[in-house]
Amino acid sequence: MTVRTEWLTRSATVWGRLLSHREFAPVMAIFILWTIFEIFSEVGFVTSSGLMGSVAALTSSLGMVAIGVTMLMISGEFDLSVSATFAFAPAIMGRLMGASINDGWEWPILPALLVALALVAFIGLVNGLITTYTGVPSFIVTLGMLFFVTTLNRIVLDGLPVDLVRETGNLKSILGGDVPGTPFAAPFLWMVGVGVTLAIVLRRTQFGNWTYSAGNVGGGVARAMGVPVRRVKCTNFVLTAFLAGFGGILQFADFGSSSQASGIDLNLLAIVAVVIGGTSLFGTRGTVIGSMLGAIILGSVKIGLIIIKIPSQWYLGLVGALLVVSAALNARVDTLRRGGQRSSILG
Amino acid sequence: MSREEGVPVLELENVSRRYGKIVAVEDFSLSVESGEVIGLVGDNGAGKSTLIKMISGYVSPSSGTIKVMGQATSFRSPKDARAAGIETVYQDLAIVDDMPLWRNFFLGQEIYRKVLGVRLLDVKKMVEICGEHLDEIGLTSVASPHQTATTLSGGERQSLAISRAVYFESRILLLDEPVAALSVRETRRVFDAIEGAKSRGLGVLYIDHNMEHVLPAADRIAIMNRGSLSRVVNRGDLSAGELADAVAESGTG
Repeated sequence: MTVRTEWLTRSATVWGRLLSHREFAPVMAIFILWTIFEIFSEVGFVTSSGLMGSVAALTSSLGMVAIGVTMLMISGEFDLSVSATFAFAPAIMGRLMGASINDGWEWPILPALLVALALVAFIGLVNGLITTYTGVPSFIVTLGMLFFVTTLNRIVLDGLPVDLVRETGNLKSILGGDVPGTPFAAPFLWMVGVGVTLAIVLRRTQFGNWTYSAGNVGGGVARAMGVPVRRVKCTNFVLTAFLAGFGGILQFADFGSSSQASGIDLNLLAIVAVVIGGTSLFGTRGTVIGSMLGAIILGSVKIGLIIIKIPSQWYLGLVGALLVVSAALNARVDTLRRGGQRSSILG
Repeated sequence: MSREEGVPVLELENVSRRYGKIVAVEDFSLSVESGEVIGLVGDNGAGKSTLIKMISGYVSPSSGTIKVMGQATSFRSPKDARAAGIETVYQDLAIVDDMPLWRNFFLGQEIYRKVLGVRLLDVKKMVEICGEHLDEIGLTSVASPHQTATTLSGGERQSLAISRAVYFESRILLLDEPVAALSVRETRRVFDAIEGAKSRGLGVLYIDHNMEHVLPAADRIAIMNRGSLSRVVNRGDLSAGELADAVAESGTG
């Protein structure tokens, strides 16, 4: 009984209990950053719907990628190829629609969209199969895929952008139009919708339970318990690539154009957003909602710095500092959740 | 739980496993009755691990038959073995560290409820059942099934894994060095859990390289040497020292 009481006392401090929620730290960070920007901005920040719209626009691409990366990282794997996949989907879609100066085909938007999504899902499947069947770490497999798909993007686009200016269909506005009555464009709602859905999948379905378990010590325990670890990991690889490609398509529909440079820094920024959101690099521990909050933090910092007139070159430095601080905080949160036991080096 | 009388829960008939020219297990036969604990002892390299892997579905025998409740089986994965009623509790692979206890307890055998036609986890029910089992095995350091498994001691993890086997009405409990590196008190906890499983009619195959570990729990002790069964003795027929000598002898002879 003494042990039980001790455990309860430890977590009974209000601070400890709040901190043991992974989403608490990112929520606090958003609150603090928004307050600072609001105070030092001459045009408001939270009170400016235009600025909130800009934050949302930056957040939606990054967030969509980060959501997939989160699921994959919880299942114990990485995907560094997401930035290339992000550009690949709109490149394929655009070329099929004849949206480049090098046009050839004149496909309608829907089949072009479906083919692009099928191809990026296939990229994810290849990542997953190679990783789970060869035992080469996904870090290496997807780094190789990053270079490979970057080359594909150059071949497909031949250096030229694709544009959606002539497209006027409903589907384009559903994907990337403005949301009436709000400062947001459709991609932000897509991100929130996908994020909330996957948060439920993770916490409340068998697949979610299996995803958590696959991230522990290479999925050894999960396999012993009869969980098809390979299939779970491959599904998450496909999901990650699919969402990266879909994010690229949403941005394509929103901005009206895309190039081989689209989303070029998203692979590393997505990992930053995921870590700021409280997800561990070593699997099993993490939340999808946290990663969306992480993406909102990065979007807010980028816009906020401009608004309070800090030179934009400070952005990356600040992102780096945020990353390290939140990783340290995560370690503290894990210690609290483990009932006071500090994690091992790899834990 | 109805169990057919007289039929052993687990029978190994002339089971062999070769890796190329290397024979890991050769012509191994052993049967485990319901409510019986068999200790399987052998030196490192005697073939114990290969035997565990075959019974738990990681590898298939090169020849011979594994029967569960009298039925011949061929497992293609640990999932198949688990579905047949074989629950394996590994020393290091029993519990996922950072997952809540209730998620661990039901991993691979989750309980659902339908919400708007979608199969969602029935968290409330799983937390409740897991909590009952935590109470039953008397884990005093556990305040709630929502706690992560990292808060459990080694013996508590093994006990929880064993009580999970009982809950899911497994027929056979395969224990892989369950008390290695545990304190005396923790070891007693695990033995209590084994006793509990035994009293509910599970057949227990308790595998260890250390005779001293197996002796207090086992009804019969099988000694394995160089991939084969060298002898089976009843507990009480020999002292621990004599048994240890037997293992050592068979290991060098």
